[in-house]
Amino acid sequence: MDDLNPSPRGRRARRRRWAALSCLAAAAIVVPAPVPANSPTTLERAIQANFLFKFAPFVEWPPAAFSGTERNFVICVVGEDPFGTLLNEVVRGQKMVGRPVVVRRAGGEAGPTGCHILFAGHSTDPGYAPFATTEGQPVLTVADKSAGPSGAMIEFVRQSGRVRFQIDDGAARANGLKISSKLLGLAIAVNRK
Amino acid sequence: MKQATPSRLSLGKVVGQMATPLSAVLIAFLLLAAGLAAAIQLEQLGRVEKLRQTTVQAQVLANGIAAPLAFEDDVALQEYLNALKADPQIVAVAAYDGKGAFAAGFARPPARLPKRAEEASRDAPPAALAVTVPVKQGGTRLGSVYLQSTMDSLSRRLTRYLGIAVIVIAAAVLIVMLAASYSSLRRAHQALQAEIASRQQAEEALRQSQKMEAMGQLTGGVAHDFNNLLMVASGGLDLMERTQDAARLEKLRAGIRQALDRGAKLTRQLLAFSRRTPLNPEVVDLRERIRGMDALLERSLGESIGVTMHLPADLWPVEVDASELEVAILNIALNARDAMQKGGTIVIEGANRPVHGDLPDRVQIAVTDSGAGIAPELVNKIFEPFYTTKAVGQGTGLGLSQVYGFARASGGEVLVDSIVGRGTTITLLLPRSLLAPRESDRPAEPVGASGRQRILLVEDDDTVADTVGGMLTTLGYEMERVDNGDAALRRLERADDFSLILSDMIMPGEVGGMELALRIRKHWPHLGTMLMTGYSAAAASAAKEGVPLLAKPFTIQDLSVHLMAALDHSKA
Ligand SMILES: Nc1ncnc2c1ncn2[C@@H]1O[C@H](COP(=O)(O)OP(=O)(O)OP(=O)(O)O)[C@@H](O)[C@H]1O
Ligand SMILES: [Mg+2]
Repeated sequence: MDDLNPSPRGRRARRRRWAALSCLAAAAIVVPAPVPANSPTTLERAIQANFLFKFAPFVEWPPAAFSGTERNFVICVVGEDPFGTLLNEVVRGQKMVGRPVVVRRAGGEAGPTGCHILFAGHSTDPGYAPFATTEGQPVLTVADKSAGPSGAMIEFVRQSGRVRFQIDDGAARANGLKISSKLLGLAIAVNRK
Repeated sequence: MKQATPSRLSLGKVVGQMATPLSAVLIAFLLLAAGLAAAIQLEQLGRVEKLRQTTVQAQVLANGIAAPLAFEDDVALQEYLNALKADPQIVAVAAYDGKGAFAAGFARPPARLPKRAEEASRDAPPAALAVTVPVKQGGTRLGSVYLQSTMDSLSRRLTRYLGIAVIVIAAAVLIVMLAASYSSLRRAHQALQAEIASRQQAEEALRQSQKMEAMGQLTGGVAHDFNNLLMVASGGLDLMERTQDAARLEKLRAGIRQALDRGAKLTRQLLAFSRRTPLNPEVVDLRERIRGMDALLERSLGESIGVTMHLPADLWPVEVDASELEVAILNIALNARDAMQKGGTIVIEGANRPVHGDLPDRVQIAVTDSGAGIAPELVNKIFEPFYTTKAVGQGTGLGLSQVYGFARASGGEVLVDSIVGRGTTITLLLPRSLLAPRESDRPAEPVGASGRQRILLVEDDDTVADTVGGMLTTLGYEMERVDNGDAALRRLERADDFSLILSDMIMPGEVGGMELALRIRKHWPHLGTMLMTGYSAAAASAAKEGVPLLAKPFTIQDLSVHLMAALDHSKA
């Protein structure tokens, strides 16, 4: 069967490598800030930003999550923001459940009020507990397992050089979120309890 | 008019003959066209259905690959796409991400994959079964799926239609063949019908000419015979004038009587013989009929041939044309005579033949001679028309063909049994009739008049008038004679004191017998009328008007019986 489509996979792989190189070059110029040893590469961050937005269609929020005054679909980023403008690029012009998608950087103290997705970045703050405030709230919490706080519903992990994620479906359900089985199927690990 | 008929007929025939094959070819073509149209229609429906199927497949795929596409899980994505490789009709599949960039896919040559999603929807050839459906999740467009499939291969589709095609073509061929055979059959039928018609004509002509031939044969003999009869009668009268011996007078009178009887019978036979009628079956008592032919046979066969008849009284009746029967017997007898050059006896035997196997009750009439016989190889030929072994002018070869035709037309058959040098038996087998034969007028005793009855005799010929008048007086009627119809009317106007008017049919003067009868019926309805004639055409017209008729010549017995009947009738 492979002989029937010899090219796509290889071509795609080559293309991605090329894209990665160019992104790396761009990152080296644009973001020269030092990063933790195990912190994600720029490419990985771009992918994570992309994923972060794309989790939304696979998750069902309870109606209560949209009952407030907020007219937007809000993605909050707390702690250190690893994405910079990447995330804004991703969500520009996008809509989720009929609402424009916006990114709000709360800087850790504003709390998760009105957030639909909460990404918690790395923080050196010893009292940093970003997910404590969302306990029991219909907020999808996301973090990078290797460079962020633990306890998020979805955690980015690195697997053979690729960005993947694991899901705590139990926690999501406890907070009134329904995660599509399609997404669960793609996760490398799912905690269903 | 007569000339126009054949050409119109043949034109009609041609049109008629062409109509069937033409319409059959037309029907066959229509059938083929309908088959083709059905196939095209089916093909189109199949295409629409296929497109729908492809769309559904693409939608299923789009739904499945939403997550792998969104999260760039190439392995899972490729797995989803590869699952479609199992379907040989899917020639190209591709998934594009939200920005329209190619994500994964495969294509079987010669199909190729569009580089970008936009190309996919744009470049697809109109005939190709290609669809592009969006990959959506929770209302967000995550990318698109491109799916291209083919119809079944041409050969597969053709095989699918092959069955129908074979049936349709076979049906078309069948129709054309049937039509062809039908029209050839009809041609044959027409030819046959024409043949039958011409044969019937020939047969009719044959029968007629046969009759004429027999007539001719008879005429000579009859003339001669009449001379003999006249000889006996006139000689007898001469002798009667010269003797007073009562016994001798009685003998002479008996001789004259016998001669006249034979003459009357002979002319009656001749009249029946010459009547040109188609088969006119009646229930016939064979014994009586054949016995009644004795004078005719005697006359026709000549002095050296004797005739013996064995006809039992209980012979079953048959339903045949009586005059044809007589001609047939005469023909067989004439052949027998010809076969017995030195003279001899012809035996006519009748017998009942009861049911045998699937043969019904039949009556057999066998005519046996002791003549030359017929060679076995010729037995089959003798019934053929114009087959004769006789010298030119002696035989026409129509005799036995008349016999055969008569037997067949009567539902019977003819058998030949012959030994060369010993003789021949020709047997007529005729089916039994369950009806009783009509009571024939057997010679009855003359019945005298009852009471005083006056009869007006209208007759122009003095001799006949004297004879008939004498008969009437002898029977005890009072009689008055007038010369013609006009005189009769004048006499009746004076006084209608008669019981019956007995009139000749053909008379000089303005009022003929028929006219007279009609006028009497009108003006003196209580008077009976009876006509006499020796002329058969006149007799027919009298029968048509329902006027009682007495055929000349008649005996005093005939006269008495008819008078009784007519008087009875006029009284009622
Ligand atoms: N009783 C018979 N004995 C011997 N031969 C016979 C006898 N009847 C008929 N035939 C043969 O059959 C032939 C055909 O007979 P058919 O009566 O048809 O014709 P025909 O007697 O020759 O002529 P036609 O009867 O027309 O004058 C005769 O010519 C004769 O040879
Ligand atoms: Mg003959």
